[in-house]
Amino acid sequence: MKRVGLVAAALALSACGSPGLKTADISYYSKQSPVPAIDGCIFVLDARLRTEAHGWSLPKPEMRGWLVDGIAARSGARTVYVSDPPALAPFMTLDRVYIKHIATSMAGVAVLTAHTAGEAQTVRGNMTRLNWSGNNNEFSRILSQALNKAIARAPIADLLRSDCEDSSKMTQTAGASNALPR
Amino acid sequence: MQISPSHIVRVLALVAVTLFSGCVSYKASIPVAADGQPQTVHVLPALYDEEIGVQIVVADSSAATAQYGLIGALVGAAIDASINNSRAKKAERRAEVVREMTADFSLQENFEGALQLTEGGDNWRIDSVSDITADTNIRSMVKEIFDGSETDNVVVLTGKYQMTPIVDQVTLTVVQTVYPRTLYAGEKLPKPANTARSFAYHSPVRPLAYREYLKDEKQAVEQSIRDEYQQSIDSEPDRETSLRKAMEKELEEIAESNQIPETIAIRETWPQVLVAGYLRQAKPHIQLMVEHDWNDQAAEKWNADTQESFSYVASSGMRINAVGQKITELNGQTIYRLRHGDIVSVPSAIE
Repeated sequence: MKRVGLVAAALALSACGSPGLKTADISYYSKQSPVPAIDGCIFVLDARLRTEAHGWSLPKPEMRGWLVDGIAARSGARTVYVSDPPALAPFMTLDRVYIKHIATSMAGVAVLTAHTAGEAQTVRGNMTRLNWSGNNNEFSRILSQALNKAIARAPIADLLRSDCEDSSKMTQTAGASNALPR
Repeated sequence: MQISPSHIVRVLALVAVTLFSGCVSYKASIPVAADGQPQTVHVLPALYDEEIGVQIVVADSSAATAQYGLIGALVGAAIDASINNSRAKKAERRAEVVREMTADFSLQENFEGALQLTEGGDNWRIDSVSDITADTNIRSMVKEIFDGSETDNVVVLTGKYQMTPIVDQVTLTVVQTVYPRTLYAGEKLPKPANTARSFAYHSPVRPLAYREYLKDEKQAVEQSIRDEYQQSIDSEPDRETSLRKAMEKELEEIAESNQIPETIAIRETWPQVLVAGYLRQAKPHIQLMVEHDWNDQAAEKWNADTQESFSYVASSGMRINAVGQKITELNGQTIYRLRHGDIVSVPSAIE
């Protein structure tokens, strides 16, 4: 009980200090089985203007693996992370990802835009659940579930490309036919 | 759900954190004009420009459950957390629709526009903090400004915009915290006690006839799905378990999709551009509130003869009966200063 008391006191007092931003260590996590592999690849770009939310920092380099793994797992396509917008559509951008605290719950939000020939379609994923301890594992799960929902609403078939090896800007890939080192 | 000892410990820790999170509190006061002399002001609009949110009415049964001791309080906290989680889920589902409508709105741009238009701001210097990163430390920035300039005050602005729990009104709130140089001795920047106040714009309330509609439509959609599955179960009774599972899944998917009656009703209540339209309308109101707060010496004195009663809907959705001093009217709204210093712009008439 003494240990519990100490932990509770430490947690409580931490609320009185300077808030400061902490970098969340996010990795993709999903209980769902990966979607069967399909031909083609999807180019994805982290186009977020802001990389923080509610006291947590979600920097682009740290979120890259989460994004690539998530899209690969839920689309079945090989996913290629590009650092600049490709000259030609189709490609997908990550516009927003954040965690928001609501009383003792938290909501994870992921916003993607599918850029296909001549149009852009924005899709959202949202997951709300009880916040048990506010740690990285919980953040990873909630953001991954939000990402899953966003991808489920995205027009995956329209985003597939055949010129997977043609991009000189590709920096990270994941997926069934992953040929490049991560 | 089974409650294990680890759950109790977690709830205990959360309760402790919640209790102590109120350690820092500020009361408002007029900061930037003393003895009738204008002072120089350095403004840092540090607005976390995230998406619009939907408030929830937070369940709090602590006063009642604490009568049964610590165990009662813990049980009450667990029940409250469960209720709040359910409300948060609904609120986020509603927020998703509204966020689509406000995708192009920038709180930062809008509020900075308001400040730039503010009269009497000749001696204000406005520096945006538009790229808040993990390394950004607002208090360090304030300290640097004091060290590198002759400014008398640094004002940090934070804000948020959200909708009421039943999505009938949009609210934009800006909180200013003033750091007067008189508090800064050149080493450590003290916490700016008694110098924070808020400016809040509450949009007109949209008529919400949709509650009944919602209930009826939702029931109709769900019932049609249940009827459909019941027919299948009647014809194939040996598949009842799997069919029931499929039915529950379909009901869940419909609840998750953007085509549920609630979503449709919100879209009907809020035509595409209206939410962002109201948020942009807030600009002159915020501007006027800041002007009044920063430039009007009379604002410092509370005059009991000019106070009047009014009511408005707070962002929590609760109707508030307040007493304030009427500052002015603007576009069908009335702007009041409350006794403790906060300023609100509320619809002149609430049904």
